[in-house]
Amino acid sequence: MRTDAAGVAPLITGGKRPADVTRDVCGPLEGRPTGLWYLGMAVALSAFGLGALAVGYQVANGIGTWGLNRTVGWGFDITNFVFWVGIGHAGTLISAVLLLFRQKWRTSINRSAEAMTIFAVICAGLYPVIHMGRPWLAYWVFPYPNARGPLWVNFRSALLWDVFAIGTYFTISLVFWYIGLIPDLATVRDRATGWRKKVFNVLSFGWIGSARTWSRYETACVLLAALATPLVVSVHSVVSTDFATSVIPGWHATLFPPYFVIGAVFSGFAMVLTLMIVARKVMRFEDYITMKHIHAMCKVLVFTGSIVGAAYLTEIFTAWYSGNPYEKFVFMNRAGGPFAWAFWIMVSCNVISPQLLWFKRVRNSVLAIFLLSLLVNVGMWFERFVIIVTSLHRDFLPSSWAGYVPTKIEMGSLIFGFGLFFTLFLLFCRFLPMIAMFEVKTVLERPAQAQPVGSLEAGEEAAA
Amino acid sequence: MQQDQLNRGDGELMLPGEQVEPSRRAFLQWTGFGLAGAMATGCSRGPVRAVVPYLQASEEIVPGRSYRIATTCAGCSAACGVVARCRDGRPVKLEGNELHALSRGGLCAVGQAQVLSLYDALRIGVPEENGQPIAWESALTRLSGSSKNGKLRLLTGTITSPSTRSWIRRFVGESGDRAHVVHDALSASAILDAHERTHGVRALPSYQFQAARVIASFDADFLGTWISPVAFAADYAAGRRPDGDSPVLSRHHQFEARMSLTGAAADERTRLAPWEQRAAVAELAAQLESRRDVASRLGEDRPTVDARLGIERLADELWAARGNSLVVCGSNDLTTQLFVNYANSLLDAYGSTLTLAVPSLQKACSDAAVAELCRELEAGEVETLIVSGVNPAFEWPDELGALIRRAGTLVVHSGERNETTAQADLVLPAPHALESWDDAEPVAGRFSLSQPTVQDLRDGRSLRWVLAQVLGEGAGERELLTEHWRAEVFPLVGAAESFEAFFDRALHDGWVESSRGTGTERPFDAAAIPAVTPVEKAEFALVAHASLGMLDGSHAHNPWLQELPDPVTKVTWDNVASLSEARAEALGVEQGDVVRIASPDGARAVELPVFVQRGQHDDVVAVALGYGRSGTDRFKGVGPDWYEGRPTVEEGGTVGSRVEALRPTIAGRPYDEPIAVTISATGRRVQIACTQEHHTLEVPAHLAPKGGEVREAARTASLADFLHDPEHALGAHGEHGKHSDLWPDDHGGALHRWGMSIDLNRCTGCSGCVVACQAENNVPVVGRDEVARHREMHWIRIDRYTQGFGDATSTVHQPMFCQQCDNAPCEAVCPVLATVHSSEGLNQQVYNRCVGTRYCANTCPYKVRRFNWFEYPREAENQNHALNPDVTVRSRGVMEKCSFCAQRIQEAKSEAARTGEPITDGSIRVACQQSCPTQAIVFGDLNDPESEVSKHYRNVRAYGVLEEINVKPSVRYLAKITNTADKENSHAH
Repeated sequence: MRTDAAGVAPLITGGKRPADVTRDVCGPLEGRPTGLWYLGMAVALSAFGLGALAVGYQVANGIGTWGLNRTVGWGFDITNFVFWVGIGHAGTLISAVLLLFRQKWRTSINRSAEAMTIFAVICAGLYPVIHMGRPWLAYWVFPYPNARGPLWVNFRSALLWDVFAIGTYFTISLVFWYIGLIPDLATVRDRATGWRKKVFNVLSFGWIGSARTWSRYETACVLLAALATPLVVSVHSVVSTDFATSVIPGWHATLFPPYFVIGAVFSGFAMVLTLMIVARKVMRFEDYITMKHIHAMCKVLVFTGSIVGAAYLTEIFTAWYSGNPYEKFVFMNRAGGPFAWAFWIMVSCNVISPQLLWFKRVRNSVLAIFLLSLLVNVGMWFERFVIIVTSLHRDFLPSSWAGYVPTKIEMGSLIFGFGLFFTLFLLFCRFLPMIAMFEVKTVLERPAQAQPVGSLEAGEEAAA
Repeated sequence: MQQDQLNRGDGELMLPGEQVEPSRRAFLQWTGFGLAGAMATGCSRGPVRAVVPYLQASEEIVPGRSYRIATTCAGCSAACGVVARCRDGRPVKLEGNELHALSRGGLCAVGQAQVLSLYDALRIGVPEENGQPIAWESALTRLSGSSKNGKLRLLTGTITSPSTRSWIRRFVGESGDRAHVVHDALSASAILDAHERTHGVRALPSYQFQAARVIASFDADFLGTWISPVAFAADYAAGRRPDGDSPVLSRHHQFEARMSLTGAAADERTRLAPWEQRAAVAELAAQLESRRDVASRLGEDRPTVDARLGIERLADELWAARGNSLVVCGSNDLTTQLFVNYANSLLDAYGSTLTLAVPSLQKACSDAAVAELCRELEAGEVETLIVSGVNPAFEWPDELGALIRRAGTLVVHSGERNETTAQADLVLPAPHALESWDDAEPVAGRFSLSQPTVQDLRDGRSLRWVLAQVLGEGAGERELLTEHWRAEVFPLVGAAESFEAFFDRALHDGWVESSRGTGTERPFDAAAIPAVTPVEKAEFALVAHASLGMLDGSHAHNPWLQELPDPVTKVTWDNVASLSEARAEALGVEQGDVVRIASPDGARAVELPVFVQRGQHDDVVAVALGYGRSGTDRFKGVGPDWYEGRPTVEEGGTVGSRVEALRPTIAGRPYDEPIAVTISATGRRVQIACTQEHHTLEVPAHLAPKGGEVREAARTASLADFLHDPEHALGAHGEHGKHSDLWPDDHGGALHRWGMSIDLNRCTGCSGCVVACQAENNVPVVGRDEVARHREMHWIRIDRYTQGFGDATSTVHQPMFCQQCDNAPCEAVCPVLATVHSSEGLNQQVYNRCVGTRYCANTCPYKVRRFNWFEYPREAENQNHALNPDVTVRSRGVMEKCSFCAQRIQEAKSEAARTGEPITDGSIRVACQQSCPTQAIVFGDLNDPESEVSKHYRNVRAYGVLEEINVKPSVRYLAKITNTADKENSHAH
C-alpha cells in the first residue's frame, strides 16, 4: 500500500491528494463534454448506425448477404465473436486476478478495463445471435422448460457451452464491476445536485461508508474476485472448444484452450492499452495512468505475445508430428495458400511486433506503444480469421474447396461491433467515474504529514 | 321503429346527398343490423368451390397417396420408358420404367427434368395467328387452306411415334407436292447414309455395348448424349463387372478432341483432332483388312496417321476380340462412317455388337433431305412449311435459318416459344408429353405408350391430331392412337387376348414387344468403300458438341437443367470455351477470361469465358450447343434479389452463347466438321458459375505435405493389379475401423439399419441422380450468382476428379451426399438438437428446429450440408405443382441435406405395417438409385446380411470415404477398376 516506501517510483504522480482525485475524476462528469468527446461520439455513433443498417439488412434478407458459402460457413461473424470475447478478457484479469495478487498498479485502470470487458462481451454476444439463419429463434439455445415439446438443448454442443460460459462471464463481470462502482457512485452523488443526485443515490444503493460497510464491501470484493478468476480461464477455453471438439483439421487440437486463453489476455491487454493511452490524453489522466502503468501492461504484452508465438509453433509442430496429411496440409495452406496474407499479418502483428518492446526507445514512446497495441488488435482479429477461414476453405475433399470473400454487408457487421463498443465506452466515460477513485486513493503518494490512509480515508471522504 | 333515419319522423323522404345526423339510437340499430348480417352470412355455406375435384371418386386415386402411370419420356428421341408418380391428379416425379427393355429403369437428367417443363408457365396455350390468339377451328381452317395449293414441306425431328409416322405418310400422300423432311440438330444422318451404301438399307443399327469386349469409340459420346445414352450406359456397365468368379471388364478406347463424359469413362483415351478422324478410322479399317487378309480396298497410299494414336495396337485388340468388338463413331462425315461400317464388318461385329436386323429408330434424320429443303426454300418453291418439334431458326446456321421465312406460309407446331415460332404465321400449340396420348417405337418392334398424367394444362394438340384434322378425319386424341394400335400394332404382337385387354396391358406396362424387324443381317457391300481422301487440316477448330443438359437446345427453358453442373466441366448456367492447358497458356488466358471465337472471315463470332480442360486437344476449342436460346432471359429473376446479387441473366440477354452461329454451311448442308475458327482474348473477365474449384485429388504441389500429395477419396486400380492382389491394389486401407471402440456398440436393436453403396466402376457421372434428387426432395434452383458463390443446393453432387495430362488424363466420378455417419460430427455440435440420429442409422435434419448456426455444415467432413442462404423463390407459382408433397419445402435460414429419402422409407414402413408384410430388400428405392441407368447406387438394410447393400459392404472393393477419421459413414464406395494396359497406371488415387 505504501508504494513509495521502498523507493519505487510512485504509481500516481503530480502529488495528488485524495480531494484532487475526487475532483479530477468527478470533474468531467459534471461539466459539459469536450469537443473531442463529441467528435468521438459522432464517429462511434456513425459506425454503430452504419453497422446496424448492415446487420438489419442481413437479418431482413438472410445470411446470404454475407460472403459465406457451402464450404466456409463462418467468416466475419464468428471471427468477430471470438475477437470480442478475447477483448473482454483483460478486464476480469486486471480486476480479479491482479486484485488477488495484490498488484497495486491495477487501481488506475481496473474500472475502465472492466467496463471494456462488459461492452466487449455485449458485442461478442450479439454476433452468435445475428449469425443465426433465424435469429428470432435465438432463445431456443436456452435450456428452460418450454412449450415446444418441451424441446431441450444439446448439451454435447460446444455452442451451448458458449451460451453458459459467456452468460456466466457477463453476469459475474457485470456484478463485479457494479459492486466496484458503488463507493465511487456515492462520491458522485455527494457532489451532485438536483436529479443527478437522485439518480446516483439510487445507483449507489444508499452507501454511507461506515467502517462496517467497508469491511463487508472488501470481503464481497475478494469473494467476487475469487469467483471471477476461474472464469478468466474458462470462458476462452470454452470458446476454443467450438473449434477443438470438431473434426476439421486446423480446429481439432488439444492445444486450443490454453492457446485461446493466452491469446485473449494478449488481445485484452492490447485493447486496454489502446483505450488507456487515448483516455489519459483526452481526459487528462496522465497523472493517474502513468508510464509505469503503461510499462506494466507492455510487459504483459511481451510475455503473452511470446506465449502466443510459442503456441503457433506448437500447433505447427503438432501437425508435423501427428503425421496426419490433412493437418499438415492445413498449415502448409495457411502459410502458402490463398489466405497466406492473413496468416503473415497474424504472425507479424502478434509474434514479431510485441518483441519491439524490448527496445527502450520503443518502450518510452507512447505513440509507438499505441501503434503496437493497435497492431496487436489487428493481429488478434486475423488470428481468429485465419483459424476459422483457412481451416474451413480447404478441408478433406478437394471437390468442395472454395474461397471466401466478405461482402460489404459483412464489413458492416464488423463496423457494427466497433461502433457499439466505442459508443458504450464513450457513454461510460461521460457518465460514470472512469477511475476507481477510492482505490486510487489507497495508492497515493504519502504526503509529509502522516494521515490515515487506506479505505477508511476514502470512505470518510465519500461519506462527507 | 317509429323514428329512424330514413323518414326523420315527419314522413319526409331523405333526398340523395342530404346529410343526416344519426341519432344514438340509429347508430345502435345500424350496428345491430350489421352484426346480425355478418353472423347470418357467416352461417351460410358460401359458394362451393371444387375442393374435391371428383364427383365420383376415381378408383385408384386416394387423396394424399401417390399412384403411378406408365408413359414414355419425350426429352429426346431415345424414348425411354418412364413411370410418372402422381399425386392428386398431377405428376410430381418421373421415374424410369423398370419393365422397359431399353432403359431398364434408368432415366437421365433431361428425362427427370421433364416434369418441371410440364408446369412451365410460358408454354404456348392456344393457337396464334401472327401473334394473335385464335381458336383451333380457325387455325385448322387456315392450315387446311394454305396446304391445299403448292408445295408443302413438313419439317420435323425424328418421329419415334409409329402412329404419327403413319399419319404423316397419309398426309404427305403420293402426289409429290408434299414431303416430310426429318432434321435432328444432333444428327446421325451419316450413319444412316453409310448403311444405305454398305448394307442397302437406310437404318441406324442397334448397338449392343454389353456384348463388346473391346470398344473403340471415335468421338461418340454414347454415355452422355449420343442416340440413346441411358440404354447404352446400362449396356456398357453390364460389360464391366470386375467382381465374382468370372470378372468381365470391357476395354474401352476413346478417340476425341474434347473431353466427353464417355472419354472420362474410357480405359484408354487418345486426343484426336477432328481433321485426323477420317484418316484414323481408315487406318484402322486398313489394319483390319490386313489382319483379315482380304483384298485391300483402302490401298497403300493412305494419309499417314500419327503413331501416337496407336491405331495398330487398337487394331490388334479389336481383332483379337473379333465378334465381340465394336467401333462407333459420332462423326457426321459420310466417308468416315463408311470406314466405320467397314471396320465393324471386318470385325464380324454385325449381328453381335451391333445389328441392323432390329434397327434403331431413334435417329431418322437426313441431312441430304434438309439440304434439298434448303435449296427449295431458297428458290422460293415452298408454299407451306410446317415445322414441328424442331427449331431450325436456332439450330441451323444463320443463313439457313433465315430461309424458313422464304416459305409462303410458315406454320410452327411447338409447345414452347422459340426462335422459329417467333417468325411463324401460324403457331399451333403442342401438348407436353405428360398431358397427351402418344406412342413410340425407339427400336423396331418395341412399342411404348404415352398417356396423359394430368388434365390438359394448355390447349395443345398433337401433330397426329392436327394432320388428321387437316385430312378431314378428325377424331379424339385417344381414338387416333387406339385405332392405329388396333390396326397396326395389335396384329404385329399377335396377342391371344382381345385388343382392349392388350391395350390395357400395354398402358399398364407402358410397353410391348413384337417380332417386327427381327430379320436377318444384311450383307455388307464392300464396293461402297471409297478411297481415303484426307480432310483439310484446320489451324484451329471449333468442336461444337451436345451438352448433357441442353442437348440440341430444346431444354434451355428448364431451370433444373440449366443449374445442373455439366458432368465434365461442372459449370452451370453457361456454355464455356473449353481449351487445353497448353492452348490457354499460349493465348495468355485463364479460367473465366472471355475469348472471342470467330469464323475465319470474321463475319460471325461468339464470346465465351474460357474453361481450362485437362485432356483436351490443343488445337480445338470445345463449346456446348444449345445455349444462347432466345427467351432465356426469363431466368433473370431466378435467385435472390439483394444488393450485391447479380442476375442469372441480363435483361434481354441469354443463358450462354449460341455457338450454332459459327457452323458454316457447306454444300447446302448445315453441318460439317471441322469448323475452322480463330480465337483471341478480349481482355474481359467473368466469373464462371462452376461448382468445383479444384478439379483433382492432388493438392497443389507447393502446399503438398510429404505423403499427403494425393487425397484418397476416390480409389481406382487397374484390372491386372486388382486381379493379382485386390487388397494391395486398392491400398492398405484395411486397418480403418478394425480398432475396437471405447464405447460398446449398444445402439443396435432397431429392426433396420439403412446403408448405401456406390459402385464407382458403374458410375459414369451422367448426373441423372442429381436431378432425380432435386425433383424428389424439392431442392430449389438458386441461380447463377448463388452457384458462383458456391451456394448450390443439390443434395447429391458428382465430384469429378481428373489426374494426369494429355492422353494420360484419367477421370473418376464420385457421387457425394450425406454419408449418414453413425458417429456424425454434425449431430454433436448442433446446440438445438436440429440434427439427430435415428435408431435406424439415419442422420435426421429437423428443419423446423434449426436456427441456422451452420456449425453442422462447418464440421461436416464431406461438406454435403446445404444452407438456405436466402428464401429461394420458385420461378413461377406454377412450378409449385411439381413439389413433392411428402417433403417439406425449406425456408430461409435452415440447413438441409440428403435424408436417404426418408419419406420413401416411411412410406414403405407404413405400407409394411398396413399389410403386415415385412419390407423386402429392394422394395425401397431412393430417388438417386432409381434414376441411375447403370445401377451404381444400391440402398438397403444392413441388418439383413443377404441384402444387396450388405453384400456390397463385404465386397473387397468397398471402402468408406474418410473412414480414418472415425465418423463411421453408412455409405460404402466400391473402387473403380480400369482396364488399363500398363501396370504403371495403377494407383490408389
